[in-house]
Amino acid sequence: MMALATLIPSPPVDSDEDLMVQVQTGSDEALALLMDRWRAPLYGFLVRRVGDASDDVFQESWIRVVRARDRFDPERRFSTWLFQIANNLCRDRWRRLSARGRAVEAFTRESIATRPPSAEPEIREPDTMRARVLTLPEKQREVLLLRYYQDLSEAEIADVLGIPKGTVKSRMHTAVKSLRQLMEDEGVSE
Amino acid sequence: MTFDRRDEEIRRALEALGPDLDTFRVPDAPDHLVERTMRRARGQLLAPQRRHAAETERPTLPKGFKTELVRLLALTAPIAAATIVCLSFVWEHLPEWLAWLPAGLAAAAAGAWLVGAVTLLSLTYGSLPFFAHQRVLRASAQDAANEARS
Repeated sequence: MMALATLIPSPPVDSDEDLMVQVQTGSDEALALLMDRWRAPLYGFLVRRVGDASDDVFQESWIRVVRARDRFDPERRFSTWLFQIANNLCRDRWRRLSARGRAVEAFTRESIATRPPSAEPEIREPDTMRARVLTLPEKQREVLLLRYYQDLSEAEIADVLGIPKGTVKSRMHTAVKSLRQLMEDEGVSE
Repeated sequence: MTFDRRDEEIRRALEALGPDLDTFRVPDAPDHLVERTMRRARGQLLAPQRRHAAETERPTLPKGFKTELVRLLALTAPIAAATIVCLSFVWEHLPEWLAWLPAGLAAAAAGAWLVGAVTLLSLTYGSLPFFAHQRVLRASAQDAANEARS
């Protein structure tokens, strides 16, 4: 039985790019396969990138993949394209939030000043790596997440973010330095 | 600092930070989220296909319609020409024929006559496509019946 199983060749596994070409012709099975392959990496990236908004951005990313399917170039890596779409959505969201944030900033400051003292103790997030990564500036955080957690090469990160490789390196360098500094400030030894 | 030195420094720093960075764990995408996303994405994927299908399902004119319409137009052309000649003849002589009527009434009668004539012509020629369509359908039904009989 074992011998027979080894004699039967396993069906060839389609690459992400092949599947995307099938999606371009309208195959929803190929889309389901792609989503199954990339659900964990993409969701992980988004949770680390935008926290609570990850569900919305996850959904929107795939919708964009489908809508822009005709613009996908099979010569390019699908993963790079997917993360580029997701990262752009994160940036849009951040820009929207920061614009709105500026508008409500004055109101919030005022309401905090006039708020009566709360009976419940304030819940403070412990000094975890999560908190530290989320403290990093946007540009450093996206480079770190793509490099460390998504294991993308510098060239791929440059492609995703649309910046030169040298800039990726310098942002990565700054991100790592900032993280170490944060840990030192908290008295955490490596 | 050269790129090589910086690369090395980053690599070492990441290695050192690795255990800490690994503590930033994230959950897998919830199944309900993936299902909802897939449903929406599938909807987007199939939307143009549905639109295309709707376009192709749009009723088209039966084969032979244009030929039949041209044939009917050709058949009615002499009748239309004769009618127009008659109408213009009548129009020329109408003032004489209606001279016995008061001027206002004569103008109203001429106007009514003109509107009636134009309406009749429009209705006749406007209905030609309908007749052509009906005739083509009847002919193709007849052909199908003959084929079935033979």
